[in-house]
Amino acid sequence: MKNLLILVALGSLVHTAQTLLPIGGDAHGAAGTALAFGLLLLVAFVSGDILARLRLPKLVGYILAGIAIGPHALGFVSANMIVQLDLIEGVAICLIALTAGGELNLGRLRPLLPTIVALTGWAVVGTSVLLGLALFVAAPRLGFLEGLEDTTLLAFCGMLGVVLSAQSPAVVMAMLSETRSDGPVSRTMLGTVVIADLVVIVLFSGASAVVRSLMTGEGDAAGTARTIAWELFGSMGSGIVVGILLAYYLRKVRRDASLFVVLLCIIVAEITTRVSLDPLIVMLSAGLVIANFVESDASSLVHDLQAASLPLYLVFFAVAGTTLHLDLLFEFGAIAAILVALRALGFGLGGAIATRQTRSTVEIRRWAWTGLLPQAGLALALALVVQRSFGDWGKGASALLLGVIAMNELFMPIVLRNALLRSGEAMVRSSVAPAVRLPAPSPPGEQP
Amino acid sequence: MGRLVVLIWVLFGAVGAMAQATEVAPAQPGPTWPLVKSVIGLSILLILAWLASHPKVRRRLEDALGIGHAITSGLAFVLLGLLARHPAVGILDDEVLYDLTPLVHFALGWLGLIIGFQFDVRVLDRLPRGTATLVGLETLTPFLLVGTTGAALMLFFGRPWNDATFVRDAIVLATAGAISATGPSERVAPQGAFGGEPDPMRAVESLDEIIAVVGLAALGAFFRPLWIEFEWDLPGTVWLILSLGVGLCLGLIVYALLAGRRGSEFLALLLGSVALASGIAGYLFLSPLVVCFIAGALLVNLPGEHKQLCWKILTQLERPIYYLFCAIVGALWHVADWRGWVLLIAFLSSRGIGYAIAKRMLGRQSPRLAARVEASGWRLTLFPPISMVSIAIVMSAQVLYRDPAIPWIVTAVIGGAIASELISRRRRSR
Repeated sequence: MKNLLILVALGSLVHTAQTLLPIGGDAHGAAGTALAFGLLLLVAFVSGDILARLRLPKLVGYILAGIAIGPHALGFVSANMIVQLDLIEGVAICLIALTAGGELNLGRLRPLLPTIVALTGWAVVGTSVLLGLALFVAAPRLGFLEGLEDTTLLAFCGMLGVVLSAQSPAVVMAMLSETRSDGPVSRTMLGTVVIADLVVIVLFSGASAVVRSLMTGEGDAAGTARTIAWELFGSMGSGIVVGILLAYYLRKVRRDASLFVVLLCIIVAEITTRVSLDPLIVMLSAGLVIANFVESDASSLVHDLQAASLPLYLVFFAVAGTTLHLDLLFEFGAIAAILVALRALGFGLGGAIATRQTRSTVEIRRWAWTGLLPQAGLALALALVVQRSFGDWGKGASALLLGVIAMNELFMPIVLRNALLRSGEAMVRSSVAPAVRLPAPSPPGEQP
Repeated sequence: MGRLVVLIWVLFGAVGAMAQATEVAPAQPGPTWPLVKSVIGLSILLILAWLASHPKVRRRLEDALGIGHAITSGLAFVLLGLLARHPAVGILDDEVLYDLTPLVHFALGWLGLIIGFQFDVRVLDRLPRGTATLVGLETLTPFLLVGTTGAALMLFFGRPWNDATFVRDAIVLATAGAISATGPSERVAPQGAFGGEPDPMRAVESLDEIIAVVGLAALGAFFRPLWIEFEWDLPGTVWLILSLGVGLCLGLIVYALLAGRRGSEFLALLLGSVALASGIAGYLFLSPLVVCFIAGALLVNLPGEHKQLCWKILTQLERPIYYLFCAIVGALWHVADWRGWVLLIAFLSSRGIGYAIAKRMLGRQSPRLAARVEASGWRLTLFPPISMVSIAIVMSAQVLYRDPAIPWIVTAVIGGAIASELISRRRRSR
């Protein structure tokens, strides 16, 4: 009740302020940034609290808060204000990637590696093929695909299948933190979504290059390969350098490591995107270096980052919510729901084949594939690339993609949380890390 | 830890603003390097702010340089800001500075919350006899003298006397001159609110800051920015009531939010609350200092366990935020405008005379109180150090108003703050 009253009070206050809003004037824009930051943070926090009482994931509360006060619903936070919070997203990506990398101890992952690779192959690649074929078959019923020749249509649907199969390491990290899960299932989930994300980036780069060349008759295979190579290997190399720098700091100075890490993240977030590197891969590699090649305890660093990260994650999730187009759900609701179900089916089947092939434990067989279900940052970014790059076909397709992503972003964390609780790995860790949603890397060639 | 977290968020604001500015800027050849330079420059600035505000470093600096008050110890940051603004360095250009406005709002809000937290109504009943006379004299006398002298000089510089903004600028200058620093270094904790025995004499010290904030509220309400239109045409009184209402509403919401919270949650909520309060204030062209002051005053006077933790976090971050604030002030400082320097001399001398008159009048009217004040060491001297609230008031004016006299006032107050402490220090050491 108290939380609801706070939400009403916050909403009323901001609404009143907006009715008094000065007409035009540039200082208003600047003040709006602080207002948006504060409002998103507080509303997300309170909404998370409410959802937690309902035994639902807090991060769904954060996202719902963003949807509610964002430009597509109540409009308390405008699209301009959200743009000005871009840095939050970049730094969140870096921080979460570093945390995820810090959790990936290769020694502990080695026994699970065959399962992770098989899951990536069967579930992720298999599902993208399945979804692509489903879209191809349903093309006559999808008006926006009209006018594409069969070969182009098949390639275009294949590309959409890749986008639809993207996961969200962020949500997985968030759920692992929120449920304090640790164990083989959790590690398999995390390892799979991290590797699958990289695979999706590569697949999308290739697929979009093919579609572009089929549509325009011009193709630059070498250029595409160079772009992908620079983004992947350049990011990994930079990440190793960042990791060594961080490791040196941890070994020699140690004090106020969280400040140093956040400074690094800010610098990485701001610079990498401008030189076409991927901040997620950079910081993931840095985290891997820390977790595997440095004596200092990476988990203590992660713990140090908790307090600094909480406001960041709250705002980050809420901002993600503000970008969800719920209106598109009404437009493509039925088809989107079918695709969501098909995607889940694909992951389930692929997961079953992969885990049987690698003779995994019963828990991994039952639950590991559920980590692939949630979608967020990468899928959204890829949908935007599709929208911008492929004319009217892209615009129509992105509307459908955004509808599917909205469903997966809202509902799949609940499924994942349930799976973690049932797997018996929940409540294993002693301390609660902040609820984090691992954002996705930016798509190749896309400048966030 | 809390200190670090808020610092990190301050840096977020700074870099975010800088990134926005970079994106807004028209495409130029090689756009990456200026950005990298700005990111690294701001990061270094943050590290320096943190280092300089560390108690050990601060003590050493203060001992070595013989300085204690924020503005003087923040001088290095004012100079850094000047340097960062220089075209050859190019870290803080016009666009970056414009986009740093939310950070200025946030810093003003933070400071406002701290001042509000010192407004413990329990102490008001225990104030020594003659407090009204003391505060009235030490505030009003320099206020009137600085205001009159400043107004005369601004008239001489060509400001039209029949323009309302002329009166407003004179009041801004006078208000900044009427506040002196509350103590040698640390802020006075509201002991009464924490369940301890309140020290009325220490409370007296912060009263002029509170009066100045009230003055700023009136200024913000009755002198609305002229360069912008509003949806509703409201009289000044309504804007004043609105400031009060927004502050009270936010205070109550923050109180409800903070109740029963601990650790990182408390910190996140406090951070969000200040951002929201300063954002709403900035949105409505009210002073974030005033709105957050009201919220802070409410928070400290309501029961609960939030107060000590809140005070701890607020004061821990005061210095580093202030130092970054100083850097922005430095970047906005138009040192080349000679009129500001002339105004500085007038400001200093009229302020000094004002305090001298106040001291003499107090000695005549209430000798016992004058003796107590004298014993405290820094009050009612000829050149009492200027409070950081004065700088905040000037910054508030800079954010809200746009006319030619504001840069002169900035020069006068910043220069005056530095000079008055150095003079005050030298006189005391003799």
